[in-house]
Amino acid sequence: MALCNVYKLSSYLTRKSIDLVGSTRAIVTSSSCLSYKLVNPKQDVPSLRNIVDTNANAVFGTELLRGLGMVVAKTFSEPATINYPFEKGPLSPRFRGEHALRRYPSGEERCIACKLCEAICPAQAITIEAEEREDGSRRTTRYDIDMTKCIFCGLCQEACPVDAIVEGPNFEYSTETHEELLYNKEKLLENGDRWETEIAANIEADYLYR
Amino acid sequence: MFFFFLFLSLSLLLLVAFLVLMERNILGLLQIRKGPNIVGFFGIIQTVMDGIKLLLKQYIFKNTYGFFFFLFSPILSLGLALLNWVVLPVPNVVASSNFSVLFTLFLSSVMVYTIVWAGWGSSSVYSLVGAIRAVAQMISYEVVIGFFFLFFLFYFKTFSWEGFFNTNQSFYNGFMFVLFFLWMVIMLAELNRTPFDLVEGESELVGGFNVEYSGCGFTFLFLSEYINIWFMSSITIIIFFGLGSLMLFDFFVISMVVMLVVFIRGMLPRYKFTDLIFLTWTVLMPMVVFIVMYGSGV
Repeated sequence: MALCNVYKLSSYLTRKSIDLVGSTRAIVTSSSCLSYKLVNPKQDVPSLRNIVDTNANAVFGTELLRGLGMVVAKTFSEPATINYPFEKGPLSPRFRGEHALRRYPSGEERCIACKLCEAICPAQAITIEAEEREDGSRRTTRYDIDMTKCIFCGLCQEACPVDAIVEGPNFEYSTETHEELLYNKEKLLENGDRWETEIAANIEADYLYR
Repeated sequence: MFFFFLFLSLSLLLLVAFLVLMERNILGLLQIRKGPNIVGFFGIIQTVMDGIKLLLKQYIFKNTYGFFFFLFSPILSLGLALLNWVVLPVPNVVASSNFSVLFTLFLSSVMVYTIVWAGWGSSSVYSLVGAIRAVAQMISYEVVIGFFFLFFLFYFKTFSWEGFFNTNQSFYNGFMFVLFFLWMVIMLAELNRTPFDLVEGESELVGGFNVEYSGCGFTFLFLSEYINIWFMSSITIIIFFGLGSLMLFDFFVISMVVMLVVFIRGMLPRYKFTDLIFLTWTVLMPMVVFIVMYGSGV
């Protein structure tokens, strides 16, 4: 403790002497240390009062005790985390999760194979092939999304004129192989069927901003 | 006696599991997050499962010049940590001796070797630097702890831990408070716990002297570390509270000390290494020597 104060005093005196000499560098003859500027926080003037205060704080560990108080206070506060697989955090209606292809209430698929999503996709993750069906309507025969290429920007759902391709609220679709993440039309439609309620509610909640 | 020691070792392993669980839960509380609370009933068997998993994991051998030391150091470490308890009255002492304090000091000195072996045998720079730090730290505090015990040896006029039970008393005053604070500092440094856990300073060393260990070897090192926490806490109780007749209450007080150690881990940041050595030789050492002089009546 005493050593600390001796050190403090000496550094204080050094700074005083630097102040006297001036902080700019004049003609250099030997050491350049006089032209250094001290950027450390200003130390207390080593008056008796300050020295006593500092040492009393150190001896009685006031900062330690304050830290202990903080720690004990935090012990009794609500955890910031949740039991994840059992509890889940809130999601925005605009959350962009796993993709899904939606259907009309009649069961007819919405996608009309306009290929706008394929065109706009910045990662080129979407592949579409289409041909005319027997009833004359234009439908996709192939709709693949490479989920490992997708960057989840949401441009495909912005581009879709019939709200067919959407990014739903599901984010728990991890797999053990790469191949399982290469989604085809069947998988996407199945997603749409499974998440239709949530997707419809989200679109409903977000309609003012669309 | 052998069976008692076996029983003691097994209960120590369980105590370690309990300690790890408590540590994780308390740290969770302090950092306003949830600790392990799923496995078993409220996460009770989490650490047991973790231990089993660690033991079953592949043990990666490094074929190096220090292979023998690399292999043998965890075994020695766990062995010494368990051997420590032989002379401790908890409440029955396995091997009664008139010089059990010296035996404890001897063992804690030998324990430094396990760390040297682990660090050097791993033939990894990180391990080596971690081991060098640990050795510097442990040897420095070995000296301090020796002098610290010396005071009590003088004061109680006994060299055995059992003797501490019979003579303890009339000792509770303000001076005791200073001694207890001092002892906490020495104990934390000796255990390589926060704020003196420079041995495993993750910011500069990957994981300290045990970075190359996996599976069984890591488990043993880890177990010995945590058994030592219980050991030091028990010594704290023996020195400062002189209990030993009521087993359950004793255990409660020991748990309190262990909890304090864990709390401190959540409370304090890590010391700088130079500060640590500085603290030993210029602050703690003179203080302890002065206390010993006072105790011996010089």
